[in-house]
Amino acid sequence: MTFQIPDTLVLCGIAVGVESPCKIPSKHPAIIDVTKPKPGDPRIPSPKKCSALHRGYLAKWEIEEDGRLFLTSLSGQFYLEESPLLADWVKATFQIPVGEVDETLTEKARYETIREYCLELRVHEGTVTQWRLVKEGSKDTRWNEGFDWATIKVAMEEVGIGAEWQPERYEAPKRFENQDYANLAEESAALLRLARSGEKGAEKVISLDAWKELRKGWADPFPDLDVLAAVRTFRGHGPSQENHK
Amino acid sequence: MSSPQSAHSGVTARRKKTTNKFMITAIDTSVLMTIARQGERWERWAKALTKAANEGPLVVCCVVFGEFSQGYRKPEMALQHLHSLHIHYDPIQPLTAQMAYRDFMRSRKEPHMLPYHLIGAHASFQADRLAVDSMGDPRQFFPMVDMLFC
Repeated sequence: MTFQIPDTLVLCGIAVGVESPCKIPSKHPAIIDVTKPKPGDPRIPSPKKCSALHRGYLAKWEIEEDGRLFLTSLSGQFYLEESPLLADWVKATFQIPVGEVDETLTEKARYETIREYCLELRVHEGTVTQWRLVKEGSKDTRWNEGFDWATIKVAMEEVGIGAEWQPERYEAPKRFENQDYANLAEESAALLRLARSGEKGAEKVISLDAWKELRKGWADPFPDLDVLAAVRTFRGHGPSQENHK
Repeated sequence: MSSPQSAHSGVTARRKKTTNKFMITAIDTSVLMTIARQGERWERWAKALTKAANEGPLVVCCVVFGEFSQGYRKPEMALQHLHSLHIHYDPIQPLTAQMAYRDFMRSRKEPHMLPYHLIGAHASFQADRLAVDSMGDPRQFFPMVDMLFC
């Protein structure tokens, strides 16, 4: 399916894209459905279709510091007569992907961008009642009660979002050609020759921050094992029970 | 497991001690995994390898590259990441391969020891030291190789 345009959620003053958590109540008095014929108007509405917006509308949500959820704008199939509107019909969970992007996905699978963490906000009758920040793939079922705005903001910053919250622009990785492999091999061989001959130029300066790049795009093949057990598994020892994390 | 006494004895006997002022540092999978996971000692390892890079090239052999690149969908991604950190893919040379297998044949020939023989021989013949982490006592696996600990 085509990548669906996400709704917008303004959380702690930062706008993020979220999957639409629930349907918009078309019979709500403050929400007007433009696809329904108007009384006295003989024209039949013809809503525009878009494969990137099958639900037919774009919503903008906002959560205030006291945890109340408001619908601030609607476009497409619906529009709002009064704004902001307390979303007291919402009984759903907002799932907000945060942290670093899992770059192991191929270009074709980018419609399901996976991030390192997921901030989940459970909303009941228009108020956030529970929240949690879980690692992707985690089976942790614990929830924090209420909506602690300050703690959520700190937790968001700790996983490396905050100001860099918005998804980074995706650039397709350069396809490696045979010539690139040959160039790399030649460069490495030249450097090693230089080092073995004792001439200058074999040393390199690497910044400490550059080491963090090694983590990006690397999916741990044995996340449940410690490093020793993982290496032993690679080499055919087989993991032992005491080496599990 | 192979006895430490037998592994790499031939390698060491034939090893030509380098007198270069540059130190070529071979890196084991355990170090790369520690840094990639950003576990407990990853910053100490990053600093140690940054210092090692100032002293000479950082290299990985085909065994280490093969293991570490399992975390990537495509090998070129692994190659790009390592290259951006000036870690070079250094294939095992014929002499190194021969020496590694000679030592392997002299040992108890336990199949799981073969990667250790290849990595150890690569570090001995094609590099000056080996950076190893989380092995308990790495000398039981690489007894005669100069080590970089952290």
